[in-house]
Amino acid sequence: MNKISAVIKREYIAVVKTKTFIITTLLIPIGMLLMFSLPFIMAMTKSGVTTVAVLDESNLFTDKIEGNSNLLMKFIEGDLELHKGSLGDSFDAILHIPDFDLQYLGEFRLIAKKQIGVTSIAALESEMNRIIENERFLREGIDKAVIDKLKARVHIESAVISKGVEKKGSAKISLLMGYLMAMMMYFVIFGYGNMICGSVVDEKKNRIVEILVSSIRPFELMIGKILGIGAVAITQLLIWIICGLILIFALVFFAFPALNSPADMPDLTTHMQANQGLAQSLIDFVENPSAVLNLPLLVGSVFFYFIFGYLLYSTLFACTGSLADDNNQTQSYTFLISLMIMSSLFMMIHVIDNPHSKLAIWGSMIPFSSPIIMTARIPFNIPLWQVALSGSILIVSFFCCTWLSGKIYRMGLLLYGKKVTPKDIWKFIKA
Amino acid sequence: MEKVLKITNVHKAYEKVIALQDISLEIEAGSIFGLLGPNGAGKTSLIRILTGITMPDQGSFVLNGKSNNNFAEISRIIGYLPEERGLYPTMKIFDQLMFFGRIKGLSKKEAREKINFYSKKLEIDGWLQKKARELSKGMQQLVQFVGSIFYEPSLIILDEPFTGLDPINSLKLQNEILELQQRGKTIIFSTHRMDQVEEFCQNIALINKGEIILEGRIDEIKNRFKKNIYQIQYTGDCNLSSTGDYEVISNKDCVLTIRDLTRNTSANVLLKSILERIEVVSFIEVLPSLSEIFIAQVQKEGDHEQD
Repeated sequence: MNKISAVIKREYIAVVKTKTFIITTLLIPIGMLLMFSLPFIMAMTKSGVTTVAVLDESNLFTDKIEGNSNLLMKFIEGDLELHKGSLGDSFDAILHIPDFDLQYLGEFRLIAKKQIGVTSIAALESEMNRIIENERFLREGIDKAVIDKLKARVHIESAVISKGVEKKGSAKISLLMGYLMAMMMYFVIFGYGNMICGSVVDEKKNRIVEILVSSIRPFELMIGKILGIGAVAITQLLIWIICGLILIFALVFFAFPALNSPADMPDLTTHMQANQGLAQSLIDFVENPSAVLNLPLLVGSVFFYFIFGYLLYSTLFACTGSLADDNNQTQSYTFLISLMIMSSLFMMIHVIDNPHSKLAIWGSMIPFSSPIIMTARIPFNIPLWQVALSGSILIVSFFCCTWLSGKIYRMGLLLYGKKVTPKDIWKFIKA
Repeated sequence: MEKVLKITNVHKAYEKVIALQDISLEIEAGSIFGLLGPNGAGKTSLIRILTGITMPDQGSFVLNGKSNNNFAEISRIIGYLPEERGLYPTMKIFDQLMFFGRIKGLSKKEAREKINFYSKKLEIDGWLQKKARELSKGMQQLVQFVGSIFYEPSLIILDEPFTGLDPINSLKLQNEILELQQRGKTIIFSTHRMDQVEEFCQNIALINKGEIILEGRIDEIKNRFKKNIYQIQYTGDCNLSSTGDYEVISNKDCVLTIRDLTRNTSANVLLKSILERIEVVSFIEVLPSLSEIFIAQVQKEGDHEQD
């Protein structure tokens, strides 16, 4: 046991001290934060204001286009060619609207020295559409106010009855959680699995293996390595989870309330409208998580699948590492494992839309896909017997895989300069 | 002499290649034992079995009264410097040695004390806080040597320990090996370098194609393979020519080399017959070098195979 803990410690320190670890640990949350907050930051900054001069020959739009925080509107008259000369002085762009037939529309042009952003153009287009539509309604004798009154905006509140207790709907939050969990599972298996593989190859490449296995059983070495990198994974994930929680709370308390004042950011609200349900669910979730999801089951099973999913795959990665001589050679071996993980991921994308389908159930029973499929499904209130069965299969498979990988690992470690065929692997297992 | 290691009928095969065939060997406590053999003879296979890296297909060995099935105890009392050796490039030397000690089963305190003691002794204490990749190959080798002995195993297996060392570090290592022997450690020394074997070892075993073809004390083996050749230094004239009793092999610069053909047990008879003819300054028997015996034996084996 002391020997294994020595290996765990060495492995942990060897990784945590590297620059790559420190950089990825810090950069990934910063990157995520930037990715999430960039739209808000962009929407909120008042800099980059573009002044658009509207030369309206149809007289339909004059003083009606309002612009937004990024678009300052100005209405001008006179000759287009003359105004072109003063581009860049008192305005950045000219929106030229020739006299046009309301039914067929005309050729509208936005002339500028620098290309105007797509979102600004889209904002102008949507405003013009609204004005033209209003005009058309008016000409047909329809009151726009009546139409607005008649417009419907349905939001289905889903609810789940579990053990006779009705819980607030969770479809959208489940979808988000499912995706998040499955993607995280994927990165954990892939990232840390490769780390284990690399560590095994390094020991072979640096010719330390022989010293090691004369002091410690290969099986203990493998377990120590897997647990050591596992500890690295936990460290890194904890840091990220804490960052993630801070981010979610920040979103709920600062960003979403801001969205509720649409006058400030019209283009962002149109984009967010589709996700309004999600935003509402997120707010509900943060305010009262257990009302939306079965939290103990969720947290418990996510932990379980993370741990055993990682363990199962890491034994495979360790034994592929032992079969290779250098990092290039491992690529051909890890390809097979990647294939398994990738196919689970593709399966997950289907499963998340239909969490109770046959594919979903089978996917959560096969041990090589269950960690990803099950973590994606768990937020959707799936039957407990499925969780129990899939969990048991996973545990049993982990022990079988460890036993088999241990055998292959032991033989592979001492092999140098030989391409290992499936036949060889079969011999290792029989040995 | 007490035997520290007893190997009994060890057999090992890899697929269809027989690596070791019925190897039995006894090694005296406190001796330096030379394990010789050409490349691919089975030396490494035998060492790997002794160090518990692989298991024999048949046979067993007992080290210090402990059977080979007891990996934990055996590994604790064996120190091993493999021929294929290395260090973690980015790990500090002290940390690596500490790790090696820990996986041998030492406590942290014990390991720290022993690392400090041996690193001072072999003058590597200045490098302990350096990373392995910052050291030269020779320095790394000394570190690896310390790594294989600092936990004070009773059997130390050194596989080609001198390759890549400069003369100064070689000498340092030689002295340390002799000191270890004086302190009662048993050393198995595996090498191709016959000069070093003659210098260090009391006993040897020559392995070829998985079998021990020669084993015993070096002086005894040399006697067994001597060809009754003598070298005589003389003054004055010498007009000796081959007779029925002896054959003159060479005669140059007042050094005469002759082979005794009489198969007498004593060289006195030969000397007496020569004394009458020349003025002898010195008379010594030429024993074959281990290298000659090694080559002759391995070639003989090869010839047998061709027959």
